[in-house]
Amino acid sequence: MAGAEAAAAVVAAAERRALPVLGAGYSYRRAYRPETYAHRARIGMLEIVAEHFMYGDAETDRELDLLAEHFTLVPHGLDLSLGSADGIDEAYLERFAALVERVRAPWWSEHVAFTRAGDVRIGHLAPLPFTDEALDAVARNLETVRRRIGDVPCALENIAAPFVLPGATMSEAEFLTRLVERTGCGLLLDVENALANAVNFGGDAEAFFDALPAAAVVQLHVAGGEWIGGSYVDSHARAVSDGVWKLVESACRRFPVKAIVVERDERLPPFTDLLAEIERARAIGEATDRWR
Amino acid sequence: MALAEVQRALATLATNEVTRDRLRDEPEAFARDFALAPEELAQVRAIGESRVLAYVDSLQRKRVAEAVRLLPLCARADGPALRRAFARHARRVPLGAGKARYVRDVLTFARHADVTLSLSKGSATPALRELLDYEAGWLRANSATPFVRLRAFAFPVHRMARAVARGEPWNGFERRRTVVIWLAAGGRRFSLALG
Repeated sequence: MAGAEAAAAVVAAAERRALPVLGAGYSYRRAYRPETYAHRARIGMLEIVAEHFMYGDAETDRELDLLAEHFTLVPHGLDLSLGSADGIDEAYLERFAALVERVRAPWWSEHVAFTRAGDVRIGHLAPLPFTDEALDAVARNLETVRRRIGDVPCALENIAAPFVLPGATMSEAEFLTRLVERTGCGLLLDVENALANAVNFGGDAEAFFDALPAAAVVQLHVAGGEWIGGSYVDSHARAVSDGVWKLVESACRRFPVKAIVVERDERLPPFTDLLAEIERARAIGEATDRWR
Repeated sequence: MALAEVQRALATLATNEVTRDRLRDEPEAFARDFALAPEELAQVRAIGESRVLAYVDSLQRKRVAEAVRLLPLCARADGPALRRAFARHARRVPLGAGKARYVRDVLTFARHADVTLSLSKGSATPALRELLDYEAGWLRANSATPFVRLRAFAFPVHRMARAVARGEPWNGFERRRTVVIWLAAGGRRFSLALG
């Protein structure tokens, strides 16, 4: 690492250590609004999907402000498209930054992916080739975002790859390691995504964990997936499997996790089921001394 | 790899069936369309058609999931029917771009004259169709201020919506002409049902 990068990495590491411990929570869904408030003592934090609140009207803004009064909120972006070679959509960035500021987020998160190329918006995450050119694109775009958002830290998430682009010059873990070294970002380790990639493309989730820059992993995502059309899909539509819980325990033993977020987007179960998963995540964090 | 060109090719493959056919049937022309070098074309082709189609399916599923989120009453009333009908819409109509694209997607779905809700035995298609229009009315009211809209329904749709929200039987109401007026102003939204 060059001298300036090394110095920045030291600063970034210190910032990550200073992040608040938020505990276990879930990715907020309006359908669960009354239950979320009723059980707020058992929910450590809420992740909010940025797109659900970025284009808000007065009523949505009121909902957001009320949530922020009662919970620590971490905005999770879906469409910043940090991996786009074309750069950042400035209008989207402005709204995203305003959301981060409005809720006084301790950090924000996004994906190591792209969702847009030129005028084409895919509407979902697409994988990057693990190459120097892609690394340059993410680093450049992250710098653009930071110039607007300022010093609120960020955590970038590994995605479940729908396909693998040939031409990679490094592994995903090496790409993430170099990204952390170069930009000082934190990592949001999606355990289910790591499992999906291992199942669909070979490899081993634990080996992937071994190769990550451990000190950078500040948050986990936990979700349930399913087999669709011959592939294991990170659908967020099922209960979390025992296999994923084992990986969560492994991750909490290795990494200085500050928050664990349970994700459930479809086939919403009774809130008591979701609460049980949040509680299980909390218990794992406690058993591994993550909440000290 | 020229990342920008490859990303444009991938994004278009994911969202445009004609482009997918072109890659399969006229790969050199596809490469020219996106200024791909031979090795870049080879990398895109190496992904495999089945993986690309599985990705396209995942995009459709995401749209369906967003529709379910934006139409919670209809999803609660007859989720499987809503999902089937919306999936048909998603296969035919591309997702737009920009702010509130999922809301526009749902409103386009609701507007289609030929929306057919393939239902399981015993469900009530006309009533569900009206519940959809009622919920779409609220989405429109949420999207603009000030807003005034009036629509006539064949069923007491406001009572159906209340029944769905309470988990009570909703599809046994007799036909009764009902006019719903949506009003949005000053950050507040109201509806008034007459009938």
